[in-house]
Amino acid sequence: MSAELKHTGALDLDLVRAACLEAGVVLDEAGGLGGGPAVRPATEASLGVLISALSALPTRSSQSTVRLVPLGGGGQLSWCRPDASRSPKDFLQLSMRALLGDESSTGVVEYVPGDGTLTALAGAEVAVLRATVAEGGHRLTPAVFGSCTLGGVLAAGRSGLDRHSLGPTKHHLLGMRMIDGTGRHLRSGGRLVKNVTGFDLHRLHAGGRGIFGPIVEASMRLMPAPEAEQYLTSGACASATAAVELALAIRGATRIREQAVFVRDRVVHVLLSGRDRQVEADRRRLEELLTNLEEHDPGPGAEAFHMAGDGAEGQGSAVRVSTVPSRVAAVVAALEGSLGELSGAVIQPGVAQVDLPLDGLSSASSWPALLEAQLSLRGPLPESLRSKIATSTMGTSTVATGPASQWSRRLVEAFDPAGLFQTEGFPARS
Amino acid sequence: MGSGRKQLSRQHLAELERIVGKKGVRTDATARAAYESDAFMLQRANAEVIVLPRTTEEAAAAIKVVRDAGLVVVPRGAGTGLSGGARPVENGAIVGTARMRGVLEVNAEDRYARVQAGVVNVHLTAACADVGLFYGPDPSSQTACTIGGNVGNNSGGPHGFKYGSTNRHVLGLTMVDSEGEVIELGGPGATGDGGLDLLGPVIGSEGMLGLVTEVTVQLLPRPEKVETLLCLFESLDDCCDAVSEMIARRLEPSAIEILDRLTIEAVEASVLRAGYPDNAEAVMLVEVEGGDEEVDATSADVIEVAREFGAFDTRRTTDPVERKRLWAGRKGAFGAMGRIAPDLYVADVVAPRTRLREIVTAATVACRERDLKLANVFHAGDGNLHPNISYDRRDADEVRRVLEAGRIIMEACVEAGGSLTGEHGIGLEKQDEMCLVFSDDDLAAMDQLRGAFDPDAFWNPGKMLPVRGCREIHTRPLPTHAQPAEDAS
Repeated sequence: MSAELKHTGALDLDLVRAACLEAGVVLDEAGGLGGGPAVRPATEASLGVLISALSALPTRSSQSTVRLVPLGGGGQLSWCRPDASRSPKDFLQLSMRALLGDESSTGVVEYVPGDGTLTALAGAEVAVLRATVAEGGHRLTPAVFGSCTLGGVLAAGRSGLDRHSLGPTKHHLLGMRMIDGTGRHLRSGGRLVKNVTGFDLHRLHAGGRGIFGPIVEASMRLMPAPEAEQYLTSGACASATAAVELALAIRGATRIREQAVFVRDRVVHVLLSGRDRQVEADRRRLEELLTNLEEHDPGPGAEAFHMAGDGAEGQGSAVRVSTVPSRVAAVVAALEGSLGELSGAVIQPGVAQVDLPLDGLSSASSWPALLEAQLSLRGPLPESLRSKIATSTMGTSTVATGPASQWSRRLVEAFDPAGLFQTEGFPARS
Repeated sequence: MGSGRKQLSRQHLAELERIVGKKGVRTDATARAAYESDAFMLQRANAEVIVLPRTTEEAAAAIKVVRDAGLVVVPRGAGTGLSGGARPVENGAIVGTARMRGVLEVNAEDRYARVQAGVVNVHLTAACADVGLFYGPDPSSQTACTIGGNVGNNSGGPHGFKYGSTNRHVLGLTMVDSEGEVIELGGPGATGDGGLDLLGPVIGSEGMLGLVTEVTVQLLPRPEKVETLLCLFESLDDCCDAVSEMIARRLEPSAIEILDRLTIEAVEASVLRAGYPDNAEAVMLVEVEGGDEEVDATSADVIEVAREFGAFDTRRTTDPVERKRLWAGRKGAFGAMGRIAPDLYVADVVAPRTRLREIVTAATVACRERDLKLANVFHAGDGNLHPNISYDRRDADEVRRVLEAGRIIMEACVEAGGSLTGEHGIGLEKQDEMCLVFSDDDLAAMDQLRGAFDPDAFWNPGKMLPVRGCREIHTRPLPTHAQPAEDAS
């Protein structure tokens, strides 16, 4: 089956049963998310055999097919695999959590505090990993909460609010092991903070939404936990645009070393972190820019901060507008002008990103600002809205064109020739 | 493509001259000699032609001609690479970026710059100094190496400890593929949400996936304060242990470098004269950047650890002139070693930062047993070691011993959980050793990646990936990187 074929048929359970039998994996025909079929391989070896067996099976007709979706916590499913949301029975859910073994396992393969590196199984929960390394005085980026798994976060290309100062999550990825669509166990990179040995295949898989096969294990660079942290919020500004302008002023004040800054519901949220005295000094400088500054206790403040900033990626369903910092205020002003208050929108001026929840958009009657903006669709738009945002409005930067489109196609053919892991619309190609 | 490649005809030559001008096409013996190797001089070859375009458009048109002539292409920046990655393929073409030196845009507000691939690293930082910004990666060869070359090797540098290597700073690329088509990847405002991260594998691909002609990089705000620290040790081992302890205590300077006695002597005997003292077995050069309070606190912590581990003297300076002198010594160390012997083998290996001392010892023993002169200067904070072995390439037996020692150092690193290269790349030098780290399947996957971008092996063929299979090389991945137990059978 060519990887170019679109998967429109139902899942061929007979073929799946045969492959599961060969791999010694139990098929749970209705025990997955949404009552869909799921498998929970307990070993990497059996997972490899299962994928290999499935890739070798012929597709019986165009009406039936075999598709696998690697799943961590399942939180990224709706936007990461938009076609998978049609019916959970149309694909086989591949749980990566079972590889952790018993429920008490953290999934940590190796944590070397003296080297500042962590290697963990893909099914490990990020929150658990963060707690583990915190005991050794480190922090793991991204700072995400909930039941997200390391593999899920990496495959989805998800970053936290600390992207503002630390860059995207993939910049902290040192290497990984994965199983491709033919069942091969592959490795790239390593466990070292610096390493240029061979092609960086792991950078391709990060954000690859699992289309080359499941990530099994990943190694991450850790950052030292800061000596001090302050979670701060401004009073409510007159508009989201005004709040964004304040946030941009903070970004431009090079004598303030904010770790993260974002706007939600006309409030500016700021995280300061670092050495004790430096954070105090930064706080004093920040007070010159923001009035009614409120400090929150570190524990609940941290969680509230990250929950408030949990935009498109956390909500799993939103529209993302990406631009450059100098255009953020103009974009937000245009959106505010046409859509109203932008309630629930998360705006990160430093990384020039605006995430709009779909709930707020569904009642909107005016779309010119969105149509002008550079859009990335994050999740399935309701049918009622699809007609209002033409596919052609997706940003050119997100659509591979010409040779790059061929590169993407050939990569898929090389690593998943049977098309087991393919999803419609990704990677976007001309 | 494959065997039976055509020769460059007069018509092809004339067409190339029409596209890039006469100065941009070199076939004379002098030019061929200048381009016969990069800074890894143990392997040389003659290119059929050297083509030096000035723009992306010229490069794209020239590639079509070269392809039509049946030649393969080795992309080349300044030729400062140390692994043979830019060595010509016999009778192939070199397409160099030496005339692509334009800084096309510096955007202070959005903190990015767009440059031609041939812009020299240090010129980029100079071009954005007026607006209070700088470019993070700073290879020791930054006064000569190019941004395009940095992309090819995913270069780092001393300040990579804080800022990371090139792949953390590239926002977008303009490339030419083997058909002469121009491709734009990424850009200042691109999130990549809708597609694969093709930038990821291209950066560090050693010129094997296409010709990079323009690069968009992020720029960083200049820190409020910068302090350089010099810590002097009577023992190289103690100096290494002090670095491991700094990492363990989670200190965050921007650079931690070590120079050993032979390196210090070479630097001080050269025109660089950094002012390193003559009574130290090892010098640790540390830089701390940030806000006033942050720098003061971190510098104090660094000195405390250094003293705990036997530093007999420490110095601190924020004076720009003195700082520049100290760094000139470090960055010019490789050049200064020319005083020791005519040739220098610069090893580039990575070890876990907890095991610096044992790798330095392994290198010392390997060189002592082979009667070789070893000087160490390295990015200790990243675990990126550069054991430098001085030799004379006219002495065939010495060359053999140098390569043998290099192999032993690589094996020691991999056995310790390290890797073959931190910033110089695999090139020709370490192809066979790839089998120490990766399985046949891993290497096949890398070859498939290459084939997806370049099905005809047009770009820099015969580099990085082992030409012979690992079974033929009789090497298997060392135990550190074996599959999990359940799969080992």
